[in-house]
Amino acid sequence: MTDTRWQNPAVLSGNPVDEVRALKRQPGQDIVVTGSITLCHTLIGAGLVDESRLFAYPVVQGRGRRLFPEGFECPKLKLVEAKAFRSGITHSRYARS
Amino acid sequence: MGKIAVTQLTSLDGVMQSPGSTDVPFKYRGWTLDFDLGPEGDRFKLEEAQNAEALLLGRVTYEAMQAFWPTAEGEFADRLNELPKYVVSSTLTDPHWNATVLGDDWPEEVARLRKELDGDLLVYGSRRLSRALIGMGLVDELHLLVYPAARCRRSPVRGDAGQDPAASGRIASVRGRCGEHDLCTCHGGRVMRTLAQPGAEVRRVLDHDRHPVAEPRGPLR
Repeated sequence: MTDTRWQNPAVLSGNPVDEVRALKRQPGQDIVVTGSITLCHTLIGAGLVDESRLFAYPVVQGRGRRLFPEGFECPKLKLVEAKAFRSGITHSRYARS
Repeated sequence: MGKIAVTQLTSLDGVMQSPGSTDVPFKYRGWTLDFDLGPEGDRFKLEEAQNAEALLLGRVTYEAMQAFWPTAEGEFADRLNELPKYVVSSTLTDPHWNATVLGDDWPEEVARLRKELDGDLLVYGSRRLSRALIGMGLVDELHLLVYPAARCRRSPVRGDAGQDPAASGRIASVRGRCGEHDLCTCHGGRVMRTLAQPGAEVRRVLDHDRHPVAEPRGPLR
């Protein structure tokens, strides 16, 4: 991709793990990933994700892509915050334990 | 009119297999053992069981539960032990633990129970049965206790009995039954489950949250 018309975009075209590791080393606030399932799988698998913020909708899809990559195992995360909305949607925030 | 409530312990990514024991031939097992529900969580599970009028279980979960709970102590254990159980199985013929076997016509039987009972018909674990009930539209409530863990694999803690001074190599005496196992004391004083005779040498110990399993060297009884 070369189109950078949305505000402040920078294209990271190298190895995503190296690029994100370098970004994390820079000072600043959180780096937030939303959607981007292929990228998420890469980052989760590389152990670069510090926090997962999950909105769980009260529906069962039966198929579709999953957040955690196949074979990923993590015996313990830390629940930082959980909130249930009237709509039945819950938001949970998990950090590395 | 009762309600069918399927209640599961699941990891964040929806795995519900063998949450509480490690001595089962499943890949993902014992992944809740690193967590403590705490008094609030214990009360929650107790109230759920108190609101139930009966348990509805698949054969695999039934066998795992009846190997543990009859000798366990406490309010929750007492409640589980006193509740009537209905077990869906085509092979189980001689149920204990206050259980009735539902055979081939189990869908009709379950529908009838749901109509006749006043309280919850509670389903613990029982993956195949739960899926069948969900597929038939018979599930009124899902209770999910989501553990902050993902697709967990916890191998049984295996070790030479020699490394565990409390196991001390040999089975000293058998002091009761725990499901299909005898409950024994080893020379070192540790209480374990076993299928071996007194005097048998313990080859290794499979760890379990309450009573580990002593695996004997040589044949089982």
